[in-house]
Amino acid sequence: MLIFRLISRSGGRSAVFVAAALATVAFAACGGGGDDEAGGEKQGADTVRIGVLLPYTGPFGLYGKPMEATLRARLAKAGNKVDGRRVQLVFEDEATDAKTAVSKATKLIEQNDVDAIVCCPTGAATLAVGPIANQAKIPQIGPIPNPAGLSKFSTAAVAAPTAAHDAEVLGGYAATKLGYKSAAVIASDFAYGKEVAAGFAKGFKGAGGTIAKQTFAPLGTTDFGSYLARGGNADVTFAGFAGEDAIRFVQQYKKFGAKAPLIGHGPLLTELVLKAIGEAAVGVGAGFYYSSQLDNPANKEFIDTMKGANSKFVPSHFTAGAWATGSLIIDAIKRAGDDVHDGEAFAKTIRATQIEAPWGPLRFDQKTGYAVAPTYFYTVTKDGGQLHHQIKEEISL
Amino acid sequence: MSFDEFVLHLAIGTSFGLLLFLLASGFTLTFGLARFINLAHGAVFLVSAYVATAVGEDGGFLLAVLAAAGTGVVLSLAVYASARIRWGRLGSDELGQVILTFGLLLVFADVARSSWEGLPRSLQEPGFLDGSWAIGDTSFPTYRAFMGGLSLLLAFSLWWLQERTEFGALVRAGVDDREMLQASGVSAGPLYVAVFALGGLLAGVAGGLGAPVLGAAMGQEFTILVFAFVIVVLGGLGSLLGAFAASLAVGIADAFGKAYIPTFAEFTMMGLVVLVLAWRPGGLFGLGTR
Repeated sequence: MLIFRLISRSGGRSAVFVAAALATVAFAACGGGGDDEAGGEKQGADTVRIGVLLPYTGPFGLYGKPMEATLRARLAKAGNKVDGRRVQLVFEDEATDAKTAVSKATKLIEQNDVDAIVCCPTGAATLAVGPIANQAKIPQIGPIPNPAGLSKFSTAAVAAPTAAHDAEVLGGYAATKLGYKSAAVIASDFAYGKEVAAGFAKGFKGAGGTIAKQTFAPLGTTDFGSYLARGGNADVTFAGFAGEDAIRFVQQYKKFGAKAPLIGHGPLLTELVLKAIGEAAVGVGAGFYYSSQLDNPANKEFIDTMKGANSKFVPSHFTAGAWATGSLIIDAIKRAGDDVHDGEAFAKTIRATQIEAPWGPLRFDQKTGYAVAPTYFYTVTKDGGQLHHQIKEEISL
Repeated sequence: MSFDEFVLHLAIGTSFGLLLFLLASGFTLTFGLARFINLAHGAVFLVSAYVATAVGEDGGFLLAVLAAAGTGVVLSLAVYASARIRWGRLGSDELGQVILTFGLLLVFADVARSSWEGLPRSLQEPGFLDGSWAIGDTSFPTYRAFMGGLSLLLAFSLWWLQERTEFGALVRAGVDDREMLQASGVSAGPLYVAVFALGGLLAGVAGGLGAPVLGAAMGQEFTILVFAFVIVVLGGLGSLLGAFAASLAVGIADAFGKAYIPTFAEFTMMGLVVLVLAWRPGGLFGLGTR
């Protein structure tokens, strides 16, 4: 080891030299996070720096790397340049944690001097960073459906509708087109689950349906058997689960003799969990703004690009959101022109942006800053041994 | 509550409780014999479950469970080996053990995370166990009955091993009084290796056998560890019979809690612990105030 040799040769006399050597090594070792940082200052006004907070660790840790790859790929398509301005991405780990996100956001704003922040896949982190970005007058772009609550910050724009919105639209659709009179609602006992449960109930009741029963199961429930065994006799069951809970819930649903058809909010059946759920997913329906099966040019370009780079790539609303965020950044920089370094003006421009996202046209509600996007209803089918979404139709309230 | 429903929840709780016993028995044995708190046990379960889902994709169910069992043994022995590198004798430094095994838990879990990209996975049950049995108006999945039955069989084998063989006698002697066992000329080393391997085997089987129901997902290393802790404390440290009774109690309390007071589902299990410990501080079958 170089360090040990240095220490033994210096014989204790030039301790400063050793300390410096150690510091250099330590610094080099830590440099992995924000790889694009160095050399940014030289380009001056010609560089637009975008800070990106993604979860690389913690429960959402699995989404960080694919989202980073997608965002990089989208910008690489534009040659990492917009109208002669170099676009530089600075990635940081929000660690599925609001506190970490706040300190990383502060770092990005104060030390990296970013012109906008993409934040965050973690809902609580997005809300926590909101006031910080707002105070620093730095635009904040949410890449996936985030909880309502960013509306009060004029600097924020979320490139996807709220989870409650899709659930509400699905509620209305279930009561009208699907013709269900009563529904049992079961969802995760935390912010996401409560939000979609309330959204679904609002839409369903608004269209004349009644909620027969509402149950919340703790996050990470190992066994849904006992919840399912008391499902009741509703016409339909609405489920609001994500990740491992979604897998277990859908798998266990029919096994416990639940007879009502099952529908849910998108994450229940996203491409990331579909294969793990297996056969049990067939026939289950969901309302959501994204599916890899959507047939439009932006979605095709997104999936082809990513699969070209990595044949095992599984598209989902996380990566589709990262792709749309990339398109959004490019378009917004183009529109902003020389205003790109003026945070308030740039934020306004971002909200005025209209692009083609993998799920269709994306524009923002000028009042709330949340995206206005279509909601689709799809069911799961199996052909050729592969499970996939079958888009039924676009639905609305 | 109708009679059918009662039977159903009882069946759900019992099958889950029996699976938990497989997990907790290894934990309690290593603690009882070696005074070794193996926090990595939760991660052994997690990695085994992931291995089962990976092997099961092409290899089928039986191979998946065997691979999980093998993984459990290997990882558990790895814990033993790294503990021996640090300490000449196990059981002398409990705080150190907790730090070491917690570190190993994080390492194992991160190996699983990077190998399977952190995605939750599942194992397909064998075709002939795919259905459900009707219980009145409700139904109970066949696989769970199979899982419970097999766990019960393993529990019985463990009892036989513990009570009817020389190996079992040595382990029991070690749990009761290790110094005395060593004084009578039995080397504890090989016994420790065997108990660690056995504990890993049981955790691995639990991971594989449970995979069609529980799946494999990040975070399980902790949820499973909490179950193991609760069962071991409830049953009494080092007591297999206690662990068995506690596993069933926890499984059944969990099932009825979820069904009738879903808002407090997390609480029912811990409520049980508080009640039992207030009544018997050493656990159900604990060794008293030693």
